[in-house]
Amino acid sequence: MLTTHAPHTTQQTIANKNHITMKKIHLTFLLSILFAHVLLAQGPEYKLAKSTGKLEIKELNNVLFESTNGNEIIFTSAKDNDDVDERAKGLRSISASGLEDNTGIGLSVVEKGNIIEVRQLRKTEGPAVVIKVPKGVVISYAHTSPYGKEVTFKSIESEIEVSTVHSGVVLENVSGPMTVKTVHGDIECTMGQTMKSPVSIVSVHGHVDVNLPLATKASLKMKTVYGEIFVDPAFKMEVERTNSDMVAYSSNDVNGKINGGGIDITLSSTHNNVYLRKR
Amino acid sequence: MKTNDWDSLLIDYIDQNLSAQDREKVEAALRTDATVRLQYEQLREVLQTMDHAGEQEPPARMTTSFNTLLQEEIRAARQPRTISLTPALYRVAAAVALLLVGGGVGFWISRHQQQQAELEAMQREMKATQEMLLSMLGNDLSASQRLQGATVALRMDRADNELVTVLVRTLTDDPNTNVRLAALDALGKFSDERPVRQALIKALSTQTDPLVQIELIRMLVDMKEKTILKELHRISTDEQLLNEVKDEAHAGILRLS
Repeated sequence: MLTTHAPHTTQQTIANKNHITMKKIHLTFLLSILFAHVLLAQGPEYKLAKSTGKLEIKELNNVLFESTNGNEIIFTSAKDNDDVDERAKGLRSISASGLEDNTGIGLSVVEKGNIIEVRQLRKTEGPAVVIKVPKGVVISYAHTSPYGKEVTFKSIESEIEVSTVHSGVVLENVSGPMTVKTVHGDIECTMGQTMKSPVSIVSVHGHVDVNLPLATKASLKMKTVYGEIFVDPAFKMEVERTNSDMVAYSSNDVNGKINGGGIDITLSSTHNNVYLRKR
Repeated sequence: MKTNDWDSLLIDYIDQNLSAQDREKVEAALRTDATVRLQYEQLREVLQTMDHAGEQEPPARMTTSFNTLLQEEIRAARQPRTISLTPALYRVAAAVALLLVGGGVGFWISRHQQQQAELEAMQREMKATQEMLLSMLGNDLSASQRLQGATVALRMDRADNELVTVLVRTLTDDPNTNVRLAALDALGKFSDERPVRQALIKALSTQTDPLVQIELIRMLVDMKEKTILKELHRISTDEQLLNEVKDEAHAGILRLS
């Protein structure tokens, strides 16, 4: 509306001067400025009306997941892309796997029934993406390439599935249920006040560092093969005894209940340490 | 000649079985000896009676009436005897005793039924748990549901074939590592069972996820399963696999041999 109205007034003022060439130049100039402005206000953003189902994100190198109360999944690409390739200007990135950038932000988003598949077109680097997810949508994130650093989940209240090979995983104020697995990455997790069962966080190489509210009722299963397990003494843990009254300290597994037991939490790192802190 | 000797001679004489010489002797004795004659008279009477007796049959009416009497007697003998407890106190005591026994039996039966009902309820509950568990394990959309299913399976004391089959399928086919690990944990609990053991051994050669591979190697080595040695050799020399997996396989070889 603004775009059609603005040129109209401009046209009138210029018409008063009775200078046709000047009028045309001004018109194009103003139109282009307005058009650019509209683009900037909108930002590189893509919305998808969806409040249930499963969001399957594959091979996105740089992602931050946030929660939204709305009914749309909102993909935003952070503006400051350092690695703008001048040579690629005006060209479009295409992928051998036949992916198409249907979002305008370097992502391919394809809806298949209940499942929304999201991939990035570039193999290396790629856009830094923020994805706002409604509470009813399950988030599944899988990453295998060595080109990512870490993936972050902030205040997510829906179910989370994470599987990475190299990327670290940061979970801030999440509520579960969740299954997190990484081979080389570290996992940092701060759990919310009300948790939903089950929670499984495992790593081969990286450490597993979890902050848990003291009042959480949980059945814990902590495991390491070549690492150590550290627990804040504030947690009053009833360690499960396998045979008679003996506690097997040599065992790699510690199974126990805090606050009488409740949601199932599995924390495991094969070659590194497991830390359980109070939040 | 003695009386006994005369007896046999006389019997034969009556039956006319004697030689002419003996007959003359007997006849002479009969004429002269009174004792022998008396003996002869008695014997003849006895023998005649015996002959007649053999021919005599009891009359048919007598037989039936005897049988009827016999039957009646038997029936009479079968009839219960009535015990009469003359003092009233005994009767009361008997009544109380009867009540007690009856009550006891009744209580026992009801308790038995209650136990039966409890058992059935428990079985129903177990079946419901298992069905819920199976449906959880089959939830394609939610890895957490499948994980919870596997976690519940870990708490079960025993697993039937259906559950084992589903857990094995979860271990081999589930796309989520955490779920596969939980299924492996649950199966490890039932590793005494032959099919579970077989499934674990088979999974070692098909599993490609390093986390599950390491867990699987550790579990099978703990089970002292020596048949996997060859597979462990292959894993420990496979260049494509993660170093940690190869190291675990190598450690497994050392522990098993």
